[in-house]
Formats: sequence, C-alpha cells, structure tokens
Amino acid sequence: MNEQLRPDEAARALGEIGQRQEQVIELATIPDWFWRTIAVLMVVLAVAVDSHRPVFVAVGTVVFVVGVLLATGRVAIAGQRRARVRNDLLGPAAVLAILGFVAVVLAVSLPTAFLLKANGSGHPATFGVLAGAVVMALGGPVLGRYLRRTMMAHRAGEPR
Amino acid sequence: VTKPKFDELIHAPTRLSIVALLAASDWAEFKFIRDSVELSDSALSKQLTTLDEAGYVEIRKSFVGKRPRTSARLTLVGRAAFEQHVAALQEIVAKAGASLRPT
Repeated sequence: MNEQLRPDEAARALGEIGQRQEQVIELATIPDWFWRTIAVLMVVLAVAVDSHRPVFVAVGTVVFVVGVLLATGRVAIAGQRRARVRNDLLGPAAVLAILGFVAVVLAVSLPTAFLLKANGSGHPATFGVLAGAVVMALGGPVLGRYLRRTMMAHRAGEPR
Repeated sequence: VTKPKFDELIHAPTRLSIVALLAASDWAEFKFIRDSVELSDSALSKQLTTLDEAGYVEIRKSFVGKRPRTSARLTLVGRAAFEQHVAALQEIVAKAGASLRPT
C-alpha cells in the first residue's frame, strides 16, 4: 500500500493525525476565564485580609479556597476525565514559562505591597495583590496560548 | 531519528484517527474516542480489539464509583509504530517535493 499511496493522500493522512491530536490538546487548554476568576479571587482574599476583621477574613478565605477549587476542578478534572494529555508535549521550556509566570506575578505583587506599606499607604496587601491579579488576568491567557502552541508543535509529525 | 515504516494496520482510516488521538494522550476514555471519531460502541470496540491484538494498545477497565469506565492507551510498541508510520507519510510527501504537508 505504501508504494501506491499518493503524496496528497499521505498529506491528507498527516492532516488527519494533526487534527486528532489537536482534539486532545484542546482538553488541556486553559480557558481565559480561569485566569480572570483566579485574579478576582486573589483580590477578594486580599481585601478580606486587609480589612483586619475576623469575619471578613474567614469569609474571604472560604470564598477563595472554594473558588480556586471549583475553577481548577472544572478546568483540570473536566479535561482529564476524557483524556490525559501527554506531559512530554509541553517540554522543559513550557515548564520554565509556567514557573516564570508565577515569578512575575509575585515580583509585581510583593514589591508593590511592601512599597505601599513602607510609604504608609492604606491597604498595601490589597493593592499589591491587585497589581499581581492584573498581571495574571492579562498574562494568563498569553501563557495559555503559548502552552497550547508548544503542545501543538510537539505533536507527532511536527519537527522538534 | 525515527526510521520511516509504513504500517497498514494503523493506516486504515478509523484506526489512524484512533491511534492519532491516543498518541497525544497518556490515556483516553472510550467515550471520548468514540465521540471524537464518531463511531458506534461496537465499531470502536472492534477497532480497539484489532489494535490490542497487534500489541499497539492497552485497554484498561476500571470503576469510578459504581460506574464502569473503559480507557485505552498506546503501548510502547504502538507508539513506536505510529511514529514510524508518521515518518513514512512525511517521507512520501517530502519525496514528492511538494509543499503538500498541512500546517
């Protein structure tokens, strides 16, 4: 059959392979709403902590924990229930990108909070986390698209 | 470098789709494969059995609560055969010297 297979048929088969692999990769793609949700939850927690009122802190903590669990569960478990994407589709560069993103969020929020506190501004934690949340809401989708591109590039048949 | 080797068993249209799905996964649930490649339960079972008999896939049956769940994964042999098959397809396209390969 190999001898009889025309180049256009081979190309079509490669296209089919690419599309099927893309279907699996889509399951692992993090939706944009996830980043915005986590960003809002971070701010809710910071506002609660900054209020210094035990009831608000307790409620804010519960909202944060439950919200993060629900959002993460919906993204991670919903996809993984159907198929688990191979880890090696990401590769070390993508892992570094994820760690780098976390570092950038912290690098924005922590110095902002400390600076505000040093200047005696009110609600330093809230504004510090708000700065980090903005980075997360805007940068998360960019990271998500980068991770998707990386997985697509590492599909079978793609040049490494 | 993967040595190109055309695989007739994999190249059958529905099996190519199934194996391609599995190649991107550690494992995939039966329902996901069935819905993705638009096969009936029995047709998918038949194709998976063929691949299983060739040693290309491993079928796992488990329970989530009281619900039975069937999932499948490519074996190392299956993954190697798929990669060789993809290399063979690429070779055919490359030999034609045309930019036929889809992006």
